Amino acid sequence: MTNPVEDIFARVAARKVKTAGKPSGLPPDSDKRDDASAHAEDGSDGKKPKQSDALIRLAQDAHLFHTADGAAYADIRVGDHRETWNVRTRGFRRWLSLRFFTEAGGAPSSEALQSALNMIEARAHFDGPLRDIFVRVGGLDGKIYIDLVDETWRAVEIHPGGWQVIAEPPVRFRRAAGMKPLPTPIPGGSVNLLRPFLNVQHDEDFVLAVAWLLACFRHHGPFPVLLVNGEQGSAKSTFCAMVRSLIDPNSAPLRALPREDRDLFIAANNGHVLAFDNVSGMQPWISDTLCRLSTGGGFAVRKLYSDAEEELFDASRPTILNGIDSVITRPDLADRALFLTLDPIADAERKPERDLMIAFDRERPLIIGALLDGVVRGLRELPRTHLDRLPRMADFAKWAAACESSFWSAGTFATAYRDNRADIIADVLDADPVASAVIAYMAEQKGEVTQTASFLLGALGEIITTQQRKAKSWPDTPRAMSNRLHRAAPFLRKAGIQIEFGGREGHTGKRLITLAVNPEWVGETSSPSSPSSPTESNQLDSG
Amino acid sequence: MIPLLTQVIDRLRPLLARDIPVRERIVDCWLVILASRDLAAGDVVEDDFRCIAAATQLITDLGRHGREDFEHVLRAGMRGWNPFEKGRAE
Repeated sequence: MTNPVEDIFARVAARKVKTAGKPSGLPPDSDKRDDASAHAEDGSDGKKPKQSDALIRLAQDAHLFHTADGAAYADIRVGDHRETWNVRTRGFRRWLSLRFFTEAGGAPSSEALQSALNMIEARAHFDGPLRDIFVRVGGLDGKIYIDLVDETWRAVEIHPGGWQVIAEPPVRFRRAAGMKPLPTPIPGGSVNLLRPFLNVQHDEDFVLAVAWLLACFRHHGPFPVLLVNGEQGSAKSTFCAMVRSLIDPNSAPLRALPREDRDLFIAANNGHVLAFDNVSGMQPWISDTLCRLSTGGGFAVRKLYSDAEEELFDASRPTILNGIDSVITRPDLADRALFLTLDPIADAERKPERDLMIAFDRERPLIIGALLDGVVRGLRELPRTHLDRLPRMADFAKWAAACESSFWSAGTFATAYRDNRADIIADVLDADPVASAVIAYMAEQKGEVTQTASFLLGALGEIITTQQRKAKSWPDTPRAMSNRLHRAAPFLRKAGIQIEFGGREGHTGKRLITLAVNPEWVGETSSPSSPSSPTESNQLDSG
Repeated sequence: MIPLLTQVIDRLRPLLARDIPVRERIVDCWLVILASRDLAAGDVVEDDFRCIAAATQLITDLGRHGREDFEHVLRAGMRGWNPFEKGRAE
């Protein structure tokens, strides 16, 4: 009778023999294997040159460089134009393999190719310069470059004196899967050509949509989040797809919200504009991540099978969300958002999407040309642009104001943005049960209340209904109440209620929260630039 | 009567000695998990292998993220997968 334990170890031993010589993968000992097999295959007995050496020599035509995150890139000449590829991508491998085939008349072995790529990557790191690499929109020395993603790798160069399509931009672009070409822009168009395609309710909304588009033509944030609401069938998805196709067309223009922030940052790494379709709810973590993407933020995870190395995703990207519900309920994200509402479309006015897209594609080069004119104006006017009061997304507001004289009279954008923010504040306060309860409570108190979070939890809880109190959205501890008040404070301030934290109650040392009503604070008068409210300014800036 | 799983674990112990390269130890451990995963209830098998990995300092020797890496190997072994190469082990 055989011993089952011996059986198990016999199987283990047999399997070890079977897998002997294969890489165990923790981590793969690729260098030794590559060298050994390359020697064997290439007959390195002095008769024939090694394939890997030939590949390294062929790669000398490429201009190698590396980026700050440690990736190696190569500028290569293909036909009469320049292309830029990550050394580890298929694009570079294909180029190298083709050159090898042209010279040697055969295909290189995968081991030789791997060895050569390792060496080329090392050269890019130690011999090549450090450069920035961009996706779709880049910038250098006060100029903006837009990658057209066409076959000849052309780009649009925009500077204060004008814009033109150029063959080899001084910045380098990376191309990700799914990126589609932009049509060559045509000068002489008008941004009003876009108006019939966007089903927005008011002209002010159109002004904001154009302002958001103009912000997308910058390579750095902060970028406002565009939230498009409307009934079903109000062309929300078409709106988003069209808007995206004016700056960063993609084969999958609209996607579902990702399940984790890693996926969101990977998407941000592979496109300039992020567009999410049919959003019907938003978890707090995704709201926070969208805030980071709007104003710029990073995300790091440990590289698999390594102790110290991290994969870094650092991005700031324009984002569009569409949905039937108003999904942005947290004040910090609402503070960074533009809300647009689309008109319902009557059946008699509905057009087939295909016809609409054909008509839009016809106008697209002219619309992009008009937007580029706006960007030119923005670059020229930005140093001279001054806003009396800077709202939360101050950089965006200043940029939109600098560009606007190309399309409409000065101040149009500022008015539209202010009105939009007033609507946002009303919406968010309405959607936040704590903020609504504070407003109702202070209407009763009229004046100033200084109490602990514990007291406020009880007092505000008495104002609301039992159903609201039992809901998940209602804080169940004094600490949670304090956090929620912190979060709602900037918008409550704009509704005329000041909240201050930090005081201590006499000998007990309990933290106190002061709620005070002052109608003079209502509106944007308490914006960060207001010289009369330095405390507020600090709080808002930190948000 | 000593349970079979206990016998397997005892037999595995010398293969996880610290003078053996850590890569060899983790691969051996995975092979044994793979071969003995049906000897008891899943949670019992997992607990026993966690104990031996900790006792033989395998988790420590795997580095700063050793626990995470070991859990990955353990999970793969219990499902019959190969965590070191692409595709299934069996």
